[in-house]
Amino acid sequence: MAKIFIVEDNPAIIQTIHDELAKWKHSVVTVNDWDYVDQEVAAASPDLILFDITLPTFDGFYWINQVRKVTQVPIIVISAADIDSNIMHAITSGADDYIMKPFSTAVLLAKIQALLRRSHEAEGGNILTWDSNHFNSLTNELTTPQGSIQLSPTESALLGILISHLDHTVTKEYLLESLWQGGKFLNDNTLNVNISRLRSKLATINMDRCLRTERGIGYRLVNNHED
Amino acid sequence: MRSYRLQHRESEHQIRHLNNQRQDQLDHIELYSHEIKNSLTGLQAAAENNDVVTSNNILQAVQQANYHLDMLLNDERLSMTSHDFNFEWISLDSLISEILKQNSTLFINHQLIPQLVELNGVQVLTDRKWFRFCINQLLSNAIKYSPNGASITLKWDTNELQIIDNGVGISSGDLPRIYDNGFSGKNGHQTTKSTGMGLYLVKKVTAQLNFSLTINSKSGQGTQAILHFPGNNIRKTKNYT
Repeated sequence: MAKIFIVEDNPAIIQTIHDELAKWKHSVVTVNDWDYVDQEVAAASPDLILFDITLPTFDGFYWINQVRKVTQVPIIVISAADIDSNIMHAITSGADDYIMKPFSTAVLLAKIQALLRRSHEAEGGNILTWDSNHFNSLTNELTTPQGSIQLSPTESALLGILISHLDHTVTKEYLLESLWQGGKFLNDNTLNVNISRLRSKLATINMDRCLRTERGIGYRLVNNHED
Repeated sequence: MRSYRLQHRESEHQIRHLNNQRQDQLDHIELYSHEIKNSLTGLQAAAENNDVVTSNNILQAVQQANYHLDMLLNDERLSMTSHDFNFEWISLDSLISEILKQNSTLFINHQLIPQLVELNGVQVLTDRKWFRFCINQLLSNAIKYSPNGASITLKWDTNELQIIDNGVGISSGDLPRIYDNGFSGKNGHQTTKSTGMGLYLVKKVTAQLNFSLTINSKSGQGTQAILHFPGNNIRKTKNYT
């Protein structure tokens, strides 16, 4: 799906992130020569960059500045726990988001997906398509051959996550974490409420069967014709 | 001669004072280290007694250790006499949203929901890092003492940020001592591990910054933590949503 460049020198952390990203079919590129980080990033032209701050040769701030001269793709800073002044510094150097060590890979993934979605939308790609249905993530409108429905912002965020994992079961934990990172603060109860609202809206255009519940695990969106 | 003696006495006094301060800091470090060692011991025991350790076991121990390591670092920073405070206008709703995202896992694990009231368009003039530290501490108390599934309210009301939980509350006997260092009270003994340092540190921060801390609570009726700002350090802008 997307190409992620990891500017990090700790092999254990690279491995963990790599494994998690591979599950979601993202490809991973890492640094070969610490003297030419910016050139390697430019050559790889990734969709998103993860940046550690403490690095060999120059620190992350220097490289973020250099990298910003060649690309505007989203940057997430991975910082050692609790050094807020560093984070502020990173954000002013041109980073889009940050995560503190030790971090949960679920949270990191949620942040990556949120930024990828946002940069996709910024390029005019605010229409998500599945089967013959089109979902506009700016107007929250779902257009299908059977008719259109208008969703609430939370229902839209939910549907957006499910569409980007079409045919895969998305766990409740992952859904909640993604919603939180997008600024929607829900728990199991309010998630259930929003899922049933989304399902009853889908029912008005005869599509409620596309939204499957995997009992005790999570939810899965499937194509219209599947039974 | 006389002034020399006086000077000497003052120096001795100051050395004694610094030594006491150092002893206090050392006591604090030992307290946090003890908690971190507890987490590590838990992990070690789990690894020795089982071939496979559940990820939940590990995550909880790591979170606890990380929390206490952060406390240790912040306590150390706060003990330095000169701070590099950096005052700037801070947008309350975006700072709080950032803090909530950072604590997402804790909230989700406890099935808690934040209620944000009247935060939109409020800006306060203060040091971002330490203001953030205070909100984080007060929020982590609210989380710790809330029943699962409850809501925690973060509300702006005439010059003050209120953090309100519906948790166990603090008994009137404990209330006067909650700012003492190392005091964990009845709740601290009964529920989650508590070092009793959180409110002490927040109070210490507020003594050096431009906002004050008040805690209102009744046993069984939840707790209300209030950060109060002077009027000229507050700016209200139009709401953009």
